[in-house]
Amino acid sequence: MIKVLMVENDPLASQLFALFLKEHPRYELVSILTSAVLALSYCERNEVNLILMDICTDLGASGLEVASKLKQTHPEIKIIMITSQPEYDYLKRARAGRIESFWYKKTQELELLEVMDRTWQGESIYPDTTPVVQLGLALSGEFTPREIEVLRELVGGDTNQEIAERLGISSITVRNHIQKLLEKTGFTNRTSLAVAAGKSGLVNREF
Amino acid sequence: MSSSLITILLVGLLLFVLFSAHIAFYSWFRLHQLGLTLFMFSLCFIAISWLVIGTLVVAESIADINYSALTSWFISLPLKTLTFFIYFINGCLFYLATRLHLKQVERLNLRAIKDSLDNLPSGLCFYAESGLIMLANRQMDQLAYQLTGLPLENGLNFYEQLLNGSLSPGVIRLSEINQLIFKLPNGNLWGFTQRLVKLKQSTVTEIVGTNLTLLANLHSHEEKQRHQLEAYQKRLQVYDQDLVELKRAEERLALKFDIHEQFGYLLLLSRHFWQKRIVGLASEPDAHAIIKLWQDQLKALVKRNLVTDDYDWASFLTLARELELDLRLIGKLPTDLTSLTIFKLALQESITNAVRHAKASELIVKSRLKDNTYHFNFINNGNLPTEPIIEGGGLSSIRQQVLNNHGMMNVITQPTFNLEIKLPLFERGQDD
Repeated sequence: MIKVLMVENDPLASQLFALFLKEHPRYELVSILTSAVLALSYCERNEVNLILMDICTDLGASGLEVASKLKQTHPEIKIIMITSQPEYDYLKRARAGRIESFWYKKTQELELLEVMDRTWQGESIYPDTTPVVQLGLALSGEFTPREIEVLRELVGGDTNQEIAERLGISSITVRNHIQKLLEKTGFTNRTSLAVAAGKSGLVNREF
Repeated sequence: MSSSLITILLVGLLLFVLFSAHIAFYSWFRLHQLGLTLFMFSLCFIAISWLVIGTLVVAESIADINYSALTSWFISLPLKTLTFFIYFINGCLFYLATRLHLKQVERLNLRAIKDSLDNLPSGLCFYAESGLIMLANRQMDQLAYQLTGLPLENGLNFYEQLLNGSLSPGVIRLSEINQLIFKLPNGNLWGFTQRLVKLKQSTVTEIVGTNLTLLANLHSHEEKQRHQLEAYQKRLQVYDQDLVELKRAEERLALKFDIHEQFGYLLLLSRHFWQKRIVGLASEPDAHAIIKLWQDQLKALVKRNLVTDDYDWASFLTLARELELDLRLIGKLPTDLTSLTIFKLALQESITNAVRHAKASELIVKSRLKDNTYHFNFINNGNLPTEPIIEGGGLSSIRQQVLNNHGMMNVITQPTFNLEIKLPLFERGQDD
């Protein structure tokens, strides 16, 4: 039996996924945690073979960060990141953290089980792209990587100078990027842009 | 006597006239030196006389008439020596004229500098080590009088008075940190700075007075805008925090939509089954499959309804059992949301530390409310740290949240590991 640990803070989603696994003879769901940080302790004292790890978990714990730490201390554990957030950076960060697979949350049983099976057999399953999100007049694919980075910082309400310091660029460059973003999306001011961007899930500074 | 020598002599005399006349006029109109003017006019007069006589000689020679007595006298003169002498005088006059011109240019420059300084909007003053004023523009003279009520006579005394001395009525001294700033009775602000200027052979001190009124107004306007911007940012940051919960809610809603669709699909499937059943085409396995699908969907909904307020603490207890960690709570859980969130963060971190680093088997959590302040203690019985604790992501994040809510946090390592947190009871609206 493959021992599966699920990290999922939404009880509805966790119970649904638990139902998927319950009937499957190959998998045993050993525990459901609501905060990713607790997975570190759990794996320290329990045998786990595969983790279904949500990215946005309780108490602001990032599943991606914890998964990266786990890959360093327990490289033998296979991890599948699961999320419904279309944040542009998640795929890149998951690959950088050597996470085996990545799955956007859906309710179809077969797809999750298929990803789990193939991951367990040694495959790395990643979606080709993040889901396309509409932001104002623009689609998420129209933004450059740097514009997305600026947008992510903008959502936190920081000034141009603070964003510039964090990204290692000049505040004038930040201002130009914001201007381009406003032109592409059609928003009239940075606050509207920041609010819409945060709500769309395209960028997320918390996790 | 050759006519060419006379011609050269006449040209020399002409130059003599021009140079001496030029210097004479120059001395009178520019230098205002009467003696030099008279001397030059005398020379000029003599040169003109000689020029007239020489011209007469040439005229009589051309007319081929008998030389007059004056012409004969002129021709009898040693013309070569005279020519040399005339050109020598011309050289001297040229040298003198050039020197006078250069001196005038120099005098003009100094005047131009003074004029320029007087037209500066800032006050400027240079003084020697003794305090003697070397140069001061009109603005500085006026400022000195407005500020101290005295004319600017000594730079040292003036600056000393700006620093500590008495000021004219109505003048207010505003700042002495980086520069002296004064508010005049007319509302204008003036700032004064002093610095040493090294010259070739000496050092002078420069005082600059700058009108800061416009700058102060702009600064005040900018300050208002900055406050507004900070308020916007604060609201945006609050919104950003709320957004996390909003997104979770949206995520749950999306899932509910999916389940709703599943129910719709099941209803259609069931209807289709009963239609087939009526005509006798539906099989028993089909019925079991549909019942199984209904059961799964209903279980998902029932599980969701089992979620209660104690779910978090219960989940911590469940986890602790799975980790073989004896988790005990002494006291009551905090009731307000902020304190509860920080409590759960600290508990989560304490469980992680107890299991991963201290290898503990027991974690005691104390929580009490005293004097409107929550006191939390998280004590484990594991190994004590052998090296000073470097606060990483977890502990530093908790500390930040505690400090943001006006609380304090201590990590005590003797005699047992104890994470201590004191948190004033959060009252909504207090920080708005």
